[in-house]
Amino acid sequence: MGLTSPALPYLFAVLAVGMLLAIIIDWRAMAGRNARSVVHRAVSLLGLQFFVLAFIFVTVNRSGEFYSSWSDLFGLEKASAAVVASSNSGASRVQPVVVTSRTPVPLPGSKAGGGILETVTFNGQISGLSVGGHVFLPAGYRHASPAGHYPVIVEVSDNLTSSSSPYAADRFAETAARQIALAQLEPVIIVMVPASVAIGDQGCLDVAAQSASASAPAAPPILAATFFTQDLRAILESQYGASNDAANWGSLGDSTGGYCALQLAMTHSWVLSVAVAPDGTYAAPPGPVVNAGSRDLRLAENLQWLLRNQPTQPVSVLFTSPGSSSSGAQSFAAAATRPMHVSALKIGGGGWPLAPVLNWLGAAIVPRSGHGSGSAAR
Amino acid sequence: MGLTSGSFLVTGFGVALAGIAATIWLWPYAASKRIGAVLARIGLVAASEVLVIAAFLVLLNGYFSFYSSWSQLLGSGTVQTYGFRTAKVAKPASALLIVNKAEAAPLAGAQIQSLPFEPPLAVDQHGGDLLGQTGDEKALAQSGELLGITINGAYTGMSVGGAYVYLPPEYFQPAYAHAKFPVVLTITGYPASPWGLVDRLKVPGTAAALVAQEKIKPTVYVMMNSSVAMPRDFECTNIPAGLQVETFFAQDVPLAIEHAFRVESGPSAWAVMGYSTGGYCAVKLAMMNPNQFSLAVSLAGYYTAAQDATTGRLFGNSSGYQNLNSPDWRLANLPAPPVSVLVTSSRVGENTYQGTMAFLQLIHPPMRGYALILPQGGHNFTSWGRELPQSLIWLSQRLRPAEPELSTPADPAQKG
Repeated sequence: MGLTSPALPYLFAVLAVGMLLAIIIDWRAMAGRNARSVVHRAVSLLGLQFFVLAFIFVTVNRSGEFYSSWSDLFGLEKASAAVVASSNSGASRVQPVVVTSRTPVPLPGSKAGGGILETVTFNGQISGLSVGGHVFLPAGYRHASPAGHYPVIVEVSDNLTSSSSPYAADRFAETAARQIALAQLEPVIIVMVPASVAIGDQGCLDVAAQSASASAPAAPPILAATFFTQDLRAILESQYGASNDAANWGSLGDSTGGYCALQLAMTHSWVLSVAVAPDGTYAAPPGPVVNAGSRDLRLAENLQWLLRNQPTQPVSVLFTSPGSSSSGAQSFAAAATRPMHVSALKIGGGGWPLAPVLNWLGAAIVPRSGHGSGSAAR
Repeated sequence: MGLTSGSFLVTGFGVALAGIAATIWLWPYAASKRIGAVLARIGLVAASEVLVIAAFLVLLNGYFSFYSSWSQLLGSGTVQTYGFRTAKVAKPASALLIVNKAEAAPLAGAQIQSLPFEPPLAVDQHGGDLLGQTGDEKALAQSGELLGITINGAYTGMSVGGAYVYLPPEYFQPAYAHAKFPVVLTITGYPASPWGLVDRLKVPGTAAALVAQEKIKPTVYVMMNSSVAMPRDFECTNIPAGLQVETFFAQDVPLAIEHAFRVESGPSAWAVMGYSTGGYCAVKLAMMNPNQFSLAVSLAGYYTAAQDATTGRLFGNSSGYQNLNSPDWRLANLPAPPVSVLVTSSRVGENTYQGTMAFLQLIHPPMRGYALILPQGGHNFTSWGRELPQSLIWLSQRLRPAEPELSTPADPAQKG
């Protein structure tokens, strides 16, 4: 009978029960004080123990599928096999980034210009999202820079094309070019991406597929956080020679993008160590509720809750506001403990409202000289 | 007395034998025809039976390497079910990695003694030298070293002890003094203790033998429990508003290991391997973190996210989030990640066989799938031990190896 035969546990159970009954009924026959009776008792008891243990073992073994046969149990199964490659084919790799245009960034008083602004499409290999955006490359940019890998600022905004906004791609690039020319900002690559990388997400979250309901049709998954934290980093590192160290990555956003910047830094501090966002409380992601059915997922999207409940992340956060009062900054600063830093900055109007923000951000992500290299031990 | 200590097992069987002896001794006193005597008979037999079964369970627990201590079995006071602060919390600014014990590694085929955990021997302080080496470098250059470690998660804040690091002999040899080694993160099933990876699966012993036969390149093995806070089963999952266990394995562990040891960073030098639940973890971790791991080996794993009584709520009541944690669902609904996986099972004797074959069918480029299917073998260390050598060879063929310095030492004759 096989070790995993369904009959085997019954067999041992019947034998154990039979043995038990025999012992109880024949008790008096084995109760003598002579050696023969003692041996009789010992053999009966050990037999019962064996059947009970065998019953337990084969039952557990059947449920856990530990040993498939007697030869498996006794280690006699030796037959091996070869490693076989599966031969499934499929689509080949997509181009990680497609550049559709390159425009020089004007810099007043300079013929050389302030760098290049590319209009691109990022094709995220892991998220599968294709996202249109921009890349600012500073004046003198070279892919393999002898000075080392470029730090990266990720700008997340829904105003990249609105001409009146300082967050518009061209104005933001001009601000950066100006600050670099003024030596207020080290050369840095700036990636500009809309806050809604796909319809259905406005918080740069990984949103699981929504099954169809009475009010809405089924929606595919949108891995926006994966796009920002895995795809963008891989693309910038391989295609632009950027640093992949979180210490050199910062993020900045306006209203909707501010939640993105803050959320991504607080949940992926190994990718982004700095975030700049307008003053606010950020208790829920912008846009429609995406995880209505899960209290836990919605809790994790409440950045106030996250700040107070998850272990403090090694991130620096800057809240910007037009006035001097910044209530969101105060509530974050009150709850933040080392190694998290919270600061606030008043930004005014003028021609370059985001210049001080860029200066602060650049100082936070550009490697300081004399920074010790964490060489491996032993 | 420790759950898996030899003295506890001997005591258990001693008590069980004494129970049988007492039953035999007291037998005549229950030999009358009164109902009380019949009840006494049943009581005597039942008591001796319970003692024998208890001793047998202790034996099985040790043999299968399920629970390594009473607190692992029963849960310690620090473990509750939900919230971020349910595991042991690392103190702020504590070292990323603590060495609790260091021993010369057991050689292939040698009897393996257990490695009891002790107070910290050495602490990794910002990449400084770790103390706690056993013996001299010459001896370690022959044997390699086995370290018992605790990892303090920089991002998750979890403090997870009871893990092991195996440093191969080459790590201590002059030719490799400046070489950086590839790493295989090896994860147990559930319930399990990481010592089973050393003692029962024999990862260090098998690796040492294969390196000696020049079938694989020297590699560092990090051996960890898939449960970061026994007795709960976490399935290597980032629990919404709870413990971030995937992040712990994918970010905290590599950071701590790269900080403390001379190992290479990046996916070309990092692989993740595991058996059973650890196999599910390995494939999931690599597929969800291809920037960290380029290779995964799943010894009799499964590929659909599971939730049961031992896991508690893992996915925040969201079937969508559960899907995102299922390797098979991801392959059917998301682009395939640039990783290679080796999956193993047995045609007869494994209930993972059907799921493994179905998962292989779903793999498509740029992901690559490889299979090692035994004709027969159950869900046990014997089967996985038969699959391990080929798995380690498969990994070594793909991991970026440590490069020894080939230059000869300075000619002593020149010293005049």
